[in-house]
Amino acid sequence: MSQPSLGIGRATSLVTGNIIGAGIFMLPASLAAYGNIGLLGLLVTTGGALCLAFVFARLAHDLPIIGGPYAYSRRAFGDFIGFQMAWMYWVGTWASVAAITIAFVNHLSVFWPTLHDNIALTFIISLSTVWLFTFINLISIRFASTVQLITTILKILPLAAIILFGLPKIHWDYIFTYNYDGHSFWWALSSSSALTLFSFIGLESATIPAEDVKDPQRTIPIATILGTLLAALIYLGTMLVVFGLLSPEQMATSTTPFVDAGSHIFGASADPIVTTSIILCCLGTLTGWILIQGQMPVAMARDGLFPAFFDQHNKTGSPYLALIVSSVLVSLLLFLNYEAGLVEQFNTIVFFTTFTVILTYLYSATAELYLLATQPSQMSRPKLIRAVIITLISFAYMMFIAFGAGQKAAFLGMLFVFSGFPFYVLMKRDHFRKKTADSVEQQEDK
Amino acid sequence: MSNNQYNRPSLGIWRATSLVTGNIVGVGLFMLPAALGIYGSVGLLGWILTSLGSICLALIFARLAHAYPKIGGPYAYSREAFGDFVGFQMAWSYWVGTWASNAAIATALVSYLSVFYPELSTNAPLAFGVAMGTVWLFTGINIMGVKAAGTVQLLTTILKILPLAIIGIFGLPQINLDHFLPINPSGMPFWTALSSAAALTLFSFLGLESATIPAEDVENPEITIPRATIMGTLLAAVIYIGTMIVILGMLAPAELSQSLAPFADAAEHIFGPAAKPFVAAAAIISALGTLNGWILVQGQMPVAAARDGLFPAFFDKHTKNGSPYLALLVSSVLMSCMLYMNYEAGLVEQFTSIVAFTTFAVLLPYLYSTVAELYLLFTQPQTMSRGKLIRVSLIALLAFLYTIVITIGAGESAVYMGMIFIFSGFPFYVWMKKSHLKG
Repeated sequence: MSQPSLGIGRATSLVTGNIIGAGIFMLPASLAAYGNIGLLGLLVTTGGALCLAFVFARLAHDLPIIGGPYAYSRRAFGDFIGFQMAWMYWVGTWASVAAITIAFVNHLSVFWPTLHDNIALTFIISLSTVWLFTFINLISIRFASTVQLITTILKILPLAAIILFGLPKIHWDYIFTYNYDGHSFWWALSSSSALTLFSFIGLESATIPAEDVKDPQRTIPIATILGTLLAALIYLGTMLVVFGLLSPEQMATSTTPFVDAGSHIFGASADPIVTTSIILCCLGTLTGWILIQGQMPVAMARDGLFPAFFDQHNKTGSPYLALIVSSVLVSLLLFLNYEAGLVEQFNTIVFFTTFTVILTYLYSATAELYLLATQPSQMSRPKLIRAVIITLISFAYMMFIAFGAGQKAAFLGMLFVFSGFPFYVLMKRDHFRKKTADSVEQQEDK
Repeated sequence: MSNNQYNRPSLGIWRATSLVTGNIVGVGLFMLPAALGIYGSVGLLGWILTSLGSICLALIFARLAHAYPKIGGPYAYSREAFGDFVGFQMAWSYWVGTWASNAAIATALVSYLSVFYPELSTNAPLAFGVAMGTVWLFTGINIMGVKAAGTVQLLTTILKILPLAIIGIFGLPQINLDHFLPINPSGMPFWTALSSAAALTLFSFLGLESATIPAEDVENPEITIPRATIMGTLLAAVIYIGTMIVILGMLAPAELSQSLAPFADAAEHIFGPAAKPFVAAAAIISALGTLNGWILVQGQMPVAAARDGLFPAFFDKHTKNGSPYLALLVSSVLMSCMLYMNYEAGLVEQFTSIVAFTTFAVLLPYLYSTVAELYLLFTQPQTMSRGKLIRVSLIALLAFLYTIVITIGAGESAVYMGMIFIFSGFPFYVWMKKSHLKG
């Protein structure tokens, strides 16, 4: 296997790049449904996400093990809980890869209207996109992370420009008068926070390919906190600008609030640039998430919780079988989506994966709390107390989000977790048989 | 600090079996035939399906109890297979599930009583008083000793079965076979009717694990618990299916769909109007017995978890008679708070939503128990023949699937509330582990 190839720059771009996807361009419209409480929800989420980033940073520092959240839950609570986390997270990852690809093709159809009507062509473009980025990952992790670094820079530049040039033009009265009328304040806050949390999914990205990170105990924590912070600044800045440039009436009706805000700042000629950066956002996110989807099966296979063949690497150290199997599954999902009549199934899958992310974070926070409480620690007392408080805030925040996620997501998500149980037993059985066979062999050798 | 130091195990095969049957068959038995009436023979088929699934579950609990006759039942099996954290989740879920559903049993009892004392439905303080009185009466019986509670359970179970058996025996000759046709009178497509009918009966077998929980109080547990679990579940299935046959056969479809109390009407057909009060008394005894048995169970779970350092140690305190009095008192105090919620106008909604998720809270330990059985079957050296191993794993798999079906039947809201509730226990788990480490 090769040398670890992710330094601080690449690892940070993995975090920021995976967090900020095409979703950012939909966010203003979804937040607008809550009026200015939506912005407050984003603020709450940013606080929660930063706490979570600290928790993951601490966990990665103590346990720089491939698989991240899976490894932490397994270390704290044993194989079965570890398996539940990895099972959910892995499926959640490739389901999101499919969703990102579909979003990409939808945006592409703005330039290329034939895509609207020609389903076969759409399907082929989606497939080629997925396999192009799978191929980039197969070449090597180093190459994939270079692509990630470049696309991340390219997508941040226009967003930074919107923030820098838009901030002076903000109409603050737009923001303060944009009142929300509907359910109660707390309901709106909880729902909009849950909604925005999904914009921060990926903050754990650097913890997962731990074996490919240089000096992981130091690099992963820095990249996780830095990457999350960067993403938070971009979210807060861009949302402030969009909410401050468009009047409440425009917000409620605009289908492309980002492009409209861009026109306010730079004139209509800027429209294509904003649209291009949307497409870049999708593509960069795709590289990063495909990198991640290849890591989880390797981590599980190494602990005997997934078939052993997943732990095979090519000469450059890329886990090719895990990557290929995951991308085959992505392709099947894409087929579901483009096969008329199956769109609903696809939406259901994507819908409940949100709950699986909540579970992953919730268990990671609990694992950190558990390890803090039960492992001997070299930390000073004030530092320990601070770590416990941050973890408790993360936990409470995730409970708040679980409330906001709603009944249907919880129901489908849990049924999905349960569906993995027989598979766990099968894996354990193979492991047990192998162990028995080995011990028989040893006895025969003697 | 085992209670065996103070006392010999006091639950023999009869008391243990009555704990199972008595906890399964509650006041629901008297309500369900009316709801199932519109499905006709398909309703009967629904009973048969749920009975089969429940018998699979009973067989799995019997096997687990034989291999691990430990206090806490489903909790102990899950912990054995998957470690402390999963075990804790099960104990937490099950314990709250039991005292919250006990509050629901007490309120059901009071609303049934209000048929005879209409004042109970209008006078909330009185109703609250009656519910509290009943709950604390049975808590008192349980504090006297597991043996006393076991005897009460045996008596109430006999008293509730007796009138049913009499109706069954004397009603059988009067059955009109024409009432079973057409098989599917509801007008729905067959499979829709079947799944709706089965859904009504799904939760009727909750409690089939009751004998596995007070394992330390059972004589010769590795033999008695399996037998009691299987016999008790079979007996409940016979009661459910038998009474359904008799009621369907005796009451004409039109009469059944109008009937508010089908059992009383059937008794009237056989013995005349004088028999009606006996049926009502049987229903009340049924609810009382179920309350007694479930209060016994609610006191056991905290003891089991406390012994493994997952619940505070004070729960593992016993009277001279071996009754876990602190666990019983704390559970019943919590139950009383629930009852207060139900009779305080502004809190009824909260009460209903807590009760709604108790089915899931009790079910989840079933689900994990079936997986624990599968896990232990395949990861521990087995002496059984290959044929038997295959048979047992098939039953476990069926039980697993059946539990998933019930979970789906429990619905989105129950799973959501239940999971949020389980998550809320996580900091408590860490706290317990920390205290355990220090101690």
